[in-house]
Amino acid sequence: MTNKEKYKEAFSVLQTSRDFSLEVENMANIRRKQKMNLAVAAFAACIIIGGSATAYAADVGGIQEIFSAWIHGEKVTVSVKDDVEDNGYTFSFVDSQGTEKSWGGGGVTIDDEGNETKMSAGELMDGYNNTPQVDTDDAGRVWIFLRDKSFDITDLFDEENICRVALAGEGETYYVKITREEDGSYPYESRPGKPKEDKELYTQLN
Amino acid sequence: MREPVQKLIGQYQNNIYAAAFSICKNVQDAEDIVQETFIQYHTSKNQFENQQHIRAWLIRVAINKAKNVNHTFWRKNKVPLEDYMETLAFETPESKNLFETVMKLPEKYRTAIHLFYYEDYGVKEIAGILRISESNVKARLSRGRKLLRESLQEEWDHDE
Repeated sequence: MTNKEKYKEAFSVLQTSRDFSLEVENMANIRRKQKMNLAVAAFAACIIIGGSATAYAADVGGIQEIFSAWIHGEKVTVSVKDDVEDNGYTFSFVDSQGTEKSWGGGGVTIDDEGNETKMSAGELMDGYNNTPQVDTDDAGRVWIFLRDKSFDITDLFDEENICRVALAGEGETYYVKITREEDGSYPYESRPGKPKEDKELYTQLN
Repeated sequence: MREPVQKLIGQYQNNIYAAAFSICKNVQDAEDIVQETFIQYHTSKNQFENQQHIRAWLIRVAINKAKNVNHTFWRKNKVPLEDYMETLAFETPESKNLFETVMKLPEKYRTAIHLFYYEDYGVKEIAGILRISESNVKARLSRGRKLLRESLQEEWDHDE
């Protein structure tokens, strides 16, 4: 056998059984919708840590969808339940420690004629996937995440407890301003493309 | 020209998976890279000269995504390569040994070696896919082969 034949035989064991056909079409359609010329309003989400798997299982009902999402730099599978009465969704996933986490959120799109349409779970997840997230870890370090990227920004806060960072996403740079509040929270605002303030104030992270 | 994404998935998903896995060494990451690569093709408006152009483009995109995954700091709870290898049905112990040895090569040698020996690309084509000079490709192939020979000895022929 030649080296090429040996190599091909060895690596021919790498076969994937995952069905990409449906996934690719679905994900591509979701991303296309995201680019539609619609104004997006009222998207708010807060992470509520906790809840047991048992409680979650007991709560299963209504329409559920499964998505692949980036959360804290990791690819996870998120289960989304349509809360029809609340006009929003409940998102749940199990993290790498085996703890179930869930949060609620929703939003509407407003077209040129002012018609409001409830955003789909896919649109919300896509928005969540493609915008920076800030959170702290158990050691109190502050992190910023964008898809698979993670950066420790704990030491980048200035004397006024403000941190400004620029983060390159897919075809867009996000300018993120994070404030360290006295109560230990880290509210932040993120703008794609152009920051409110001078770009020079922002530390480029990648 | 363009081809329907479904057709390309059928033709190339295993090649892209193998290319991605040879870099990131992880099943889930490699599968995600395959998915992301085809989504990128599906949503892009690129026009291609021929089928080979499409194939090279898909492999380049997958390699770049796999490198990005490798350089991500936040990686944990990954299935060790040794554990995954136990699930693979190698034809012979020599095949398993070769696979394991290649996966231990430094990433830059491993990538060039994989494109040469598995995808049948020549030096010029590899240079185009990796966006490096032909002399650089030759150096990586030469160094990679030397490391393979040192480890595999008589199981790997002199073929330079």
